[in-house]
Amino acid sequence: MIIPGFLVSIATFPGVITHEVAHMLFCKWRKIAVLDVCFFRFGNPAGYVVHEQTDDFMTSFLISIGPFIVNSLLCIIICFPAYLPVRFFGVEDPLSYFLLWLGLSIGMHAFPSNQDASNLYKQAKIAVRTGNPLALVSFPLVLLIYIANISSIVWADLAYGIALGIGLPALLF
Amino acid sequence: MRHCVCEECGQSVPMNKSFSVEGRNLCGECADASFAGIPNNNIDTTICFKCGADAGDQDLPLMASLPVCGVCEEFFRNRPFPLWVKAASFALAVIVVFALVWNSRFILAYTELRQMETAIADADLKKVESLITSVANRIPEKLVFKTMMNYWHGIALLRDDRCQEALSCFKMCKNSPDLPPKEIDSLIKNAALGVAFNDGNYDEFLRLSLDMAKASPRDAFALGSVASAYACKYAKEDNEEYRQKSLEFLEKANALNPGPEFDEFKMRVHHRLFTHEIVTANEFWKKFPNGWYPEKERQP
Repeated sequence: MIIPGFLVSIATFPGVITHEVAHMLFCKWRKIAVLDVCFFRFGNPAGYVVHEQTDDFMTSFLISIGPFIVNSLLCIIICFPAYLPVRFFGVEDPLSYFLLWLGLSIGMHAFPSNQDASNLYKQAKIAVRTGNPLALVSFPLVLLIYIANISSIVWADLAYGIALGIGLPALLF
Repeated sequence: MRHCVCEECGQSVPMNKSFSVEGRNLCGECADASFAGIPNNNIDTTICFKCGADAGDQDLPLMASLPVCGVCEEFFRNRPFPLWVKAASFALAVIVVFALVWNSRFILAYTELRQMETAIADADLKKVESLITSVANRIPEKLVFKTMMNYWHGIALLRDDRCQEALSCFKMCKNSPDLPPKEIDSLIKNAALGVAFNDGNYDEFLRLSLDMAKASPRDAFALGSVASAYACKYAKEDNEEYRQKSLEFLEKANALNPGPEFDEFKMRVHHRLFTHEIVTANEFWKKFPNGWYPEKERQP
């Protein structure tokens, strides 16, 4: 089923906000100036962070991948308390369903955007000349990001969120 | 602040209000009137692009190719998260912690269910009973655990020869979709047998035993139960026919190779037939901890 992206963004707005917060968080940690930021808006893109460029590849890498780390971790942490009551015991309570919506929304927006991938690719091309191993790893990663974003048409982002929020606890319990 | 002269009208304008069109510096009006190309804003590197602070003739440091004053640079480098983002993050943390605490009963119940599996494998009935009771109390909204609690409680009671209480427990499990009806029926019959035995109602004991043996003719304990009931009748009424029937059923049960547990059962039936004494299993083992043998009884 194809649903317009802006509707998906509205339904999963906590994920959009967390994605941008993650970008900004890594900018702050790596002392990169944030020139402009929009955590959520009704438009495309639904959120953005404009930051200064840096020559340090590790910093670029972390800023681009930041949402993947932060959103994935939060998805696991938020869905965890809801997994046992809903999936294992079949107890339906609003708090658990709220947590699942929140966790999956955040997990869905874990993939870095195409813009993030493009930034990473540009920086990796420069960094790879100095033999930076992280830059080498970044090339397949960029490819994966593009594939993941294309696959979001067939709900790959939701599948990723479900795999993290529900699949992972299912392996444990 | 720097100024530049419009190359079209000769007017002096602030540099950051002027435009570059095809390499020529023009004022706003001339840039608008020009059809030569796309006008680009000229940047005055002495004016902060964020707050407009004027550094006189001194060039400001560039950030993303834009001039910024010290205060704005500090702001951009340490841009604070908006208050609502901080509040939302805090609320999120509170919700997750609250959910963990609120749902901790499920985590504990899950752990107890896992421990219960081990206890069942170890045949530790007391532990199974205590664990399932705890699970049922933690998750009262799921009836399945209450049913399982009654089931295991009934089994433990049956083992302790508290048949009347066991019967009540099993009756509560009847018609539950979570347990096989055949098993529950069998347990109810077993408990009813025990009740009849404990009440000294040996006619009822015999009737129920025969019913059970009819339903499960390959079950050594069902056949043994008939033998036990006939032994009770014999002990009370001293009718030789009952003794013969009891031995006959005992033989039939024995032919099914039921295992060492049945040998103990057989011993009790023989004791009953020999002594005309009717005692419960617990009383029997208290009295004869090393078992009972007719030869010993015959000794002076």
